[in-house]
This record gives sequence, structure tokens and C-alpha cells, in this order.
Amino acid sequence: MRYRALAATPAILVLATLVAWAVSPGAARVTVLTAAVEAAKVLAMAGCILAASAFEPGEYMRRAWALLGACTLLLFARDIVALANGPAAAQGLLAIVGNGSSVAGTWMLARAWTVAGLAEEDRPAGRVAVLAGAAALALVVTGGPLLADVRALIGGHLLAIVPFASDVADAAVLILLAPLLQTTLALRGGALRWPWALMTAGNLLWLLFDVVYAIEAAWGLPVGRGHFVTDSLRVLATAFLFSAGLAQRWAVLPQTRLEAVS
Amino acid sequence: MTGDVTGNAIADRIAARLALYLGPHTGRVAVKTFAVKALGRGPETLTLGDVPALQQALRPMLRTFVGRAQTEIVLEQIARELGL
Repeated sequence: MRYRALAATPAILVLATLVAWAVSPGAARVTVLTAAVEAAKVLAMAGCILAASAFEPGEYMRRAWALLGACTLLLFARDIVALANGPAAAQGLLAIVGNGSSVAGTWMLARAWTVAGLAEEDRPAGRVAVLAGAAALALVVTGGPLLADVRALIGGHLLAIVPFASDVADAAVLILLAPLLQTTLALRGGALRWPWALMTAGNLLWLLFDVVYAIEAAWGLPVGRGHFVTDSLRVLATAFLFSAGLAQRWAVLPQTRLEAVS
Repeated sequence: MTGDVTGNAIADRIAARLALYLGPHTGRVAVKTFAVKALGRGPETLTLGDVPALQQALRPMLRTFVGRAQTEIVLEQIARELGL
């Protein structure tokens, strides 16, 4: 029951954001959305710290959650620097390292099944097919923006390295959706399905975010921060990282308690 | 990711314990995979004498998913349930 409440938490946060946005005067609405996005990042950091601290130093899952927490911290720091009109290079560096941490942490979670020694019974052909499908999907979603970034880089716009790195990270995380989803399905019925399921849900929402962002940009609509649809998706996807982290912590609590909640 | 019921009471008890974390499907897969790896035979052949070796084989997998402390608790519970 409490895992289901955890799964509903991101939607509740977005509903709260919607209410605050709707009752705010026009000029304050951008501030409401910015505050909601940053609050979600703080929550996500807390979730990652709680998950990492459920494991001992040096353990595989502790490193994975620490990397995901580092990603959120660095992207939060990037936002603070941006809000303070800090240097673009500093924002770019924080974004690049943050995105790198996200890919590394997600990659570790996606590989946990293999690291645990459970992949031996899998059919390699099936795994490759699913990965290829995910890679094709990632290319469809991020291919256009990636091409635009490469053109900008070739045109001498050095700061285009930041969106380029971000789009490469998006593509990598989208490809990793496949093993995350496979692990979630394999763990169905167990307490550990929750962190993987919630992590997968968050990444699916980032996929949706990328699609919506690309459509808005293609239609010439204003994109970036301060727009309700994209910022709501940011809050929702980020809050799922909080839920996943807390679910991870609960899943490795002493088993006497686990039996009581499963 | 395949697995089936073993029909062996010891294997099924261990799989049921693992299922709390891994789900029933992967609980069975884990017992099968690590029985073959540690003992060179399937879970349907498990005897009480095989359990320590199987526990040893399960340890790295459990540590990956639930950490060292919880792994030891799970393995101890398995031993207790089987009267070891």
C-alpha cells in the first residue's frame, strides 16, 4: 500500500503545482513553475541519498544511487547558477557532468541484473533485439536535436557542446529504458520491482518530455523554462526519482518489516 | 529470463524466501541458476547438504540487489527455515 502511495506522489506534486499555478497572478506563474521544478530536484536528491545510504560503502547499488544523486545535485547547482545569471561556461560544465552522472547511474541500475549473475538464462538475441528497438526509438526522439547541435558545433558555436552532451545523455538514458523495463518485469511480485518500476516510469516521462519539447519546437511554440506542460513533465519525471529512491530504501529494510508490507 | 517450479521442497522454500525481494519468477530463476553454478545440477536435486554451497553461490547476487547486511539476514532466515 505504501509503495502505491509512493508511486502516486509525483502526480500529487504536479497537481499541487497546477493548483498553485492556476491561482497565481500571471507574472508569478513562471516563479511557481521554477519553484516546483527545483523542489522536485531537492526531493529527488533526498530520495537518492536515502537509497544510497541503505547500502554500505563500496556496494554496487550505493554507487549507482550516489551517481543519480550527484546528477540531481549538479543540475540543481546549474539552475542556481542560471538563476543568479552566472557564467554560461559554469552552467554548461555543471550540466555536462550532471548528465554524465545520470547516464552512469542509470547504466548501473540497468546492469544490476547482469552484475548479479542472473543474465545467464537470458536469450542474447532477445536482449539485443530489445536494445536495438530502444536505440531506434532514442534516435527518432533525439536525432533531430542531435543533428542541430552538431551543425551548431561545426558552425563554431562552442557552447553547443552543452545541448549536444545533454542530447547524447538523453539518447543513452532512453536506450537504457529497455534493460530497466526488462528488470522491472523480471522482478514483478517482489519488493525490488518498485525502485526499478518507478525509475523506469521516470525515464519514460523524460522520453515524453523530449517528444513534447521537439513537437513544440517544430511548431515554433516557445520552449524552455516557464512553460506549464514541459515544466510539469520535468516535475513529474524528477519526482519519480525521489519515489524510486525511497522505494529502494524500503525494499532493503530488515525483512521482518518487508514481510509486513509486501 | 525463464524459470519454472522445481517440485523440490528445499528449492521451493529458498525460492519463496528470495521471492519477497525478487518476485516468484526471479526467485526460482536464481535458485536454478546458482544451483547449477554451485553444484553442477538442477534445483530438483537439492538436498539439505547442498544448502550451504547454494547459499554461498547466492551471496554475490543478493549483495548486488539488497546489500551485505540484508543478504546475511536473508541467508540466515533460509538456514533457519530449513532447520540448519
